[in-house]
Amino acid sequence: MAQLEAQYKDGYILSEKEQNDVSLFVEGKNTFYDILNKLPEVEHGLLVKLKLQLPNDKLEIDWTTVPDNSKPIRYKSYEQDTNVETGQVSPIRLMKIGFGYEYFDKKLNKNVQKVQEI
Amino acid sequence: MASSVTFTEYNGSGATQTASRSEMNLKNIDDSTTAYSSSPITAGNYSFWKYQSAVHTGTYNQLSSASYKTSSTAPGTAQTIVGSVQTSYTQPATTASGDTTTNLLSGISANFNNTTTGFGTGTSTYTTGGTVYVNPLRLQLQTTSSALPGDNTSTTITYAWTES
Repeated sequence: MAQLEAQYKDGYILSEKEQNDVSLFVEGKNTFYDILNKLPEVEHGLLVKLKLQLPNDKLEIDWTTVPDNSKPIRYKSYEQDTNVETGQVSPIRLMKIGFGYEYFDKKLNKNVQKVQEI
Repeated sequence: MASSVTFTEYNGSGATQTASRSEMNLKNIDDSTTAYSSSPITAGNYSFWKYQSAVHTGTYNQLSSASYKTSSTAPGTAQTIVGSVQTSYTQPATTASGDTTTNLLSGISANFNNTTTGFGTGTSTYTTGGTVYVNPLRLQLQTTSSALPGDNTSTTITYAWTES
């Protein structure tokens, strides 16, 4: 539906899996946690590209061009309905995805976010 | 994949928990087992308050922006659903809860509390990981003597959240 991929300097690609999005490094966390905390970079070098693959499109960030110390942003907003009477639960609905990065701008002395919402 | 969400209900004097609730009917008894048809609310009376928390499990980096809303606050003639998000527990009763319909249709924010209960101040963002209880939504159905007998139009509770 909306899969995140991180490519590293040695060509390694870490891909978020829709059905089993589990951190390779920390129990209870997910793939985005690994990317955000640079955990694959020890073995595979710096992050060079971040891609959000959508059903009919993709968004890419060339990580070599973003400001130093930038951090990835990727969030998903969900809703789930429960019928009070029957307890029937709807499938989880993905309402919005945010994708981009943030960095601290020393000149402006504030955090700057570059985020595209879909 | 999104974290999984279930609902836990709290009843009795000690906030006894029933996990993975399969219904949320408002009724004239404070338990999680009696069918609503066996404990109906009669015209002019109020239901017992019902507390239910969303509970997240699974893998995630961060949870935030939790909120609850209902599809209706007037499910039938002379009937009103009132509610609020609670950070502490008082044993459910049929007296007026003191809640209103304010923001029930648009959404009421809630915090993520801890791994065992939704009662507590909590935090608006949660990064610890694993199971976490959200502050519960407390609902009550209030009627006047004009209320008609029979089932109401069914209401939906929508739980919303953001995760990364």
